[in-house]
Amino acid sequence: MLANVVISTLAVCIPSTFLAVLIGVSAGYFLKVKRFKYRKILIRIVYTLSGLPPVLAGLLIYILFSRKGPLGFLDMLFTKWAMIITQVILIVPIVMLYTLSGLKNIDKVLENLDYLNIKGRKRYTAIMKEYSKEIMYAIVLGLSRSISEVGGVLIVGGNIEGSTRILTTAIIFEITKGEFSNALLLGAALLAISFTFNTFLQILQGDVVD
Amino acid sequence: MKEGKLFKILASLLAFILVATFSYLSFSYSKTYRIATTTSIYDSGFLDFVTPAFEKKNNVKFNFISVGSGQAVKIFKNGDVDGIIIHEKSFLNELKKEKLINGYTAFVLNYFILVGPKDKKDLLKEVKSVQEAFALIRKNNFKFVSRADNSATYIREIEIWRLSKLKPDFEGYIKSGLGMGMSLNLANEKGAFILTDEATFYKMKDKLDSLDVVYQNPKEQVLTNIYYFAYSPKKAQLSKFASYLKSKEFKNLVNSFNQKFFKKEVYRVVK
Repeated sequence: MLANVVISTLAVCIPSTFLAVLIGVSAGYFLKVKRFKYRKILIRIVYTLSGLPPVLAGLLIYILFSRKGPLGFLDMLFTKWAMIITQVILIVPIVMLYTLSGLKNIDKVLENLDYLNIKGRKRYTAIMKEYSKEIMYAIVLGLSRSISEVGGVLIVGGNIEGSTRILTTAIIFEITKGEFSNALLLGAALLAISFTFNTFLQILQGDVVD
Repeated sequence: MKEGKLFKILASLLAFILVATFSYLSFSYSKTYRIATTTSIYDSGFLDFVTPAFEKKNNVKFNFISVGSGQAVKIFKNGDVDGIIIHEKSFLNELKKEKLINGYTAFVLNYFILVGPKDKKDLLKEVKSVQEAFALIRKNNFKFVSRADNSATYIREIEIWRLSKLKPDFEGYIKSGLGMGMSLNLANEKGAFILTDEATFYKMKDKLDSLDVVYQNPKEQVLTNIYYFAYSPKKAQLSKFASYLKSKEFKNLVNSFNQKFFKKEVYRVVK
């Protein structure tokens, strides 16, 4: 039972964090470096969306993927994919926002790369190396948001046992039944996963907190 | 170990985790049916107890989505689930009229009961009907928790107020907007009365230390709580499940469920 819920949790949170960081960091970089017409208003939208209530994201995805909705033919409502998409929508703006503030001195870094005449793929690898700590922070940020989120995934996932029941929605379910000790146990499992991931990421990067 | 080597090992481990989760996600099950169900019959553990035998025999899998009856009907109407289990007949008649279902199967019942604070139990001793009990609560301005959602239990509560020719407009009337379990917890904390179904109450009884049954009467029509199963005509294979709900095998499972969790007859098979 618990193992099943833990596996489902990982199967939702890992891909959603991965996709959100991939999209969020590149979009954030683009927004930071490139100058174009609607840049300022776009940044303002990102700021707004970073506070998007999970239940609202859940509702929008629900309507989108309901069989009567525009993407209903995909048959994705009440699956992990719907949950992943909801979480990506919630995490991307946060990661973008973080990237915008994390890429300080980027102008200098780019200048140096121009000076050394480093172009193409090498250039992006160099930028990533320079900001690896910031990227790591973005992953930690995304993961903690995705693992603690409940409102959105409950709506689009439906809390189906053995499929879309993850730790947070299982906690809600146990509370509705008045099984508070079970809920606490699931909460402990949630924290344990969070701790494991953070430890893992910190080893990977060297201590992020210096 | 050199730092670079450690980094490489951990990075490949990270890549492995990613590949593993994505391939896990693309793994698909055999034939799966989605059934929206009212919270009460699911939260009591009943459905998870009686369906595995059927699933195994027919090599299918049921995914239950536990929501209020009102929401269950909505998502069924949208076509997001293949079948529904609810305990409000009017909803089903509506679906039938719209030709979204061909019919429905009544398969199990229990009774609505009025529970309330232990110390007020004696006050309702002389009461002869649930309407009278409601009137007494209102007159004394006792606390009463109403789910005030679109659930079958709430619809039944409103029906009782209507029969008693009274409006639930007193100060003690609390609208929770929560599911049955949470509302029972709320009533327990506040020392309030609440209309509930037997199964949910007895399943949670040991956690509801200040509540007790204050009125019950299986003979009153308005307190009978029948659960129905209906399915989309597009999923004709689900007729097998409908007949299973009328089988001897199902009946035996209901009996063992009662014995295991309640030590008395709570869910009764509908003939």
